Amino acid sequence: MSSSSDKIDTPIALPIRRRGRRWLNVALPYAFLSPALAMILVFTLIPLALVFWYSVHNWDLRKPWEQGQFVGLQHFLTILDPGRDELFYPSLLKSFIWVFGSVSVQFICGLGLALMLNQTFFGRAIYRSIMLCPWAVSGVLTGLIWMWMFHETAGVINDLLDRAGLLHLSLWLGLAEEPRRVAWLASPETAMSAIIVANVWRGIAFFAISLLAGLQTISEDVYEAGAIDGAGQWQQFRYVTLPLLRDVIVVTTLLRSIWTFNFVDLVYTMTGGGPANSTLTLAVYTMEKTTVGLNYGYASALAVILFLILLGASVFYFKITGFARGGAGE
Amino acid sequence: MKKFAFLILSVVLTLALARPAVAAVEITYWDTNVTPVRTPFWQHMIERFEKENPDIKVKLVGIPQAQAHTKIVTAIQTHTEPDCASFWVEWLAEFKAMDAAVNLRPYLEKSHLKNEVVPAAIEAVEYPVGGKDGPLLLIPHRFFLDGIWYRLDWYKAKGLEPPRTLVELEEQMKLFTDPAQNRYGLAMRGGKSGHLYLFQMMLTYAGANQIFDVGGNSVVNRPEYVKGLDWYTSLYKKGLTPKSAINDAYQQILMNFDSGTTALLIHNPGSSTEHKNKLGEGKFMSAPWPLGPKGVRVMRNIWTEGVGIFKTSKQKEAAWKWAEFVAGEWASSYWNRMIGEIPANLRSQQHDWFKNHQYLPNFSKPIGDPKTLWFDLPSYLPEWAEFQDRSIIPDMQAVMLGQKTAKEVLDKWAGLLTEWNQAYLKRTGKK
Repeated sequence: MSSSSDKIDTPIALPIRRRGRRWLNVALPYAFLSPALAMILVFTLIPLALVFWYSVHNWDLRKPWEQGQFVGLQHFLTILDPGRDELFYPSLLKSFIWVFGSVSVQFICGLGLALMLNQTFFGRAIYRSIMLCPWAVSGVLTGLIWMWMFHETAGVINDLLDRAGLLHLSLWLGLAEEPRRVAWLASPETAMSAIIVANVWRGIAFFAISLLAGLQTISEDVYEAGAIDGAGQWQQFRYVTLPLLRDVIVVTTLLRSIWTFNFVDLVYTMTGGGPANSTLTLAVYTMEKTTVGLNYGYASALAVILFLILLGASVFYFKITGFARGGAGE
Repeated sequence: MKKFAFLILSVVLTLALARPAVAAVEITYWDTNVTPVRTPFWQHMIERFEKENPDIKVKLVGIPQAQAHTKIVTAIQTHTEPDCASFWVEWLAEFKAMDAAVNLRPYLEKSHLKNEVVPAAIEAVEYPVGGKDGPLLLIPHRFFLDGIWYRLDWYKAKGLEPPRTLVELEEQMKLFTDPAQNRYGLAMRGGKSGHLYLFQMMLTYAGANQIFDVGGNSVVNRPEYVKGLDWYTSLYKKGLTPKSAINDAYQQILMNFDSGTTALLIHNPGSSTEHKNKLGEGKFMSAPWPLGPKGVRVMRNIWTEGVGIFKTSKQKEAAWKWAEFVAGEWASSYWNRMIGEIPANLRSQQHDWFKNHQYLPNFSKPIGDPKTLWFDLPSYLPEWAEFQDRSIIPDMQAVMLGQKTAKEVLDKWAGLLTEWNQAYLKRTGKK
């Protein structure tokens, strides 16, 4: 290009040298990514780093003279010592019961629902939408609704049982010596089951939708091939459906387990961790240490321990289920 | 030249008009116990205040009771506090530790309120932050004591008088308990704040009011207190309360009483409007706190609430005017007449509605009665707030369930309280 003889005014005259152009090419993608990276940094990485920082320092809002003192692993040692923190191990156990009980029932019911909704029948679309409704309700609202439903004297469940003449339920469950209403949330024996019921009600939708999506990716051909080979209903399910769903099942159960482990809203609104700490999960314990105890250092140490437990469990889970190892396995 | 002069004139005039003669200041006030019943009362008070003080606007923000503490602490940490809020006495020790609230003593000294606020209420406010030498972090406009509500119609039908002693209380509870009919004696509060009634019952039964001895060591595990805790939790174990009582907090105990499930309710005069609305006149009545077997009643020092100002407020003078108004004669009288509680303003207490009130005087009868002993919970300890929610309540529930014994639990509390109190005394140089 004979630019020197051009009379046209180039408004911008960038001295584009070959080196600079390459630099721009390399830097441009990062520039586009930087807003997202900044968000991740500010809202995820920095708070995460802060939690780790808090966990090795004293930070109790009610004891300002101690704030900022470096204490190393002191919080962790106190937590792991049952003599000094009598709530940690019981709450860990309650967390496992809570997670295992909720997720297993949700999964089985969700799978059943997904299998049913995978078939064609009249009004299927309506049922699919109805099924999603509990998911739309927030955890706190779910907790409040179920808390009032399960209430011993004013709850609708006990009212119906009463009218159906089932006051003897309390005798059958071994909760009383004379027929009376069952205090679902006030008896340590039934409180955990009651909150699991509320959680299951809410969580089935998640499994149903995800597993349904997974089921729909399985082509009919595979089932036909199985039928030709003489496979019955159950064998089709066990040898065709389950293996092909494996990755979806692993991801959904792991995600749901992690979320349930961290759930505070439902448990706290329904029982507040009671009675007598019988439904105190580790997440609720950590939350209370923060908001009621105002002890950010100790609570951060609890959060770090929770994080490590979940991290270890996830890695272990992926390994034993052969997630994303490719192929349908069997 | 003419154009220039005109321009100058218009600029000067604009500036003169743009500068307001009196800048309307807006203060934000958080109501930390918002309910649909109370909001219109606040709005009426704000209207009157703004009429009397045209240069101040009050913006009312309502916070539900259950989240109030968390919201305020978060606001303080993130420097987003409002100008003022209704403070509860339980929070004052924290606010002092976080240096978040303004000392209102100098303001009170110069105000007409100085001789109008009930001295006992001021003492209750001073107690958690160092007594007379400490700051004054809120100006009380109401206070209350706990008492007994009972079903007047059921009592009349059985020809009974309200319980005057704990023994009578238990006997009457037995008369009204019928689980098959879903009827019980008392709507016991085993959930949040239930420990307040626990302590009052336990100490009344024991007839003693010492939490610490002169050396600063906790004596809550004295044998008479163990007996008191045993007695109170036995009411639950004997089935004289609904089983759900172990978890029941404010809403549930009100619901139990107002829905006709229980004959008795321990609460303060603040729930009178609810009873009026849900049960109707003639079906309920109040009674003063009963006496224990030793012939005395032991009550927690009066609970009070009022407006406090945050240190970060840029309108402290305006906020003080609002605080002064709320605790003043008209507002204190209006508010407490509407809500059904005791005004903390001596002049308001002279108003006819209070002197001739149906339920309120029963609650304040213990004040000035020689048979009443007073005690205070150690809310000045930094560990106290968490201790009451995370230790006292679950321990009380464990005793109710029979998982722990009263002695075990009180020994544990005594040990911890002694440790913390000694540390506190050392820290504040009182030892």
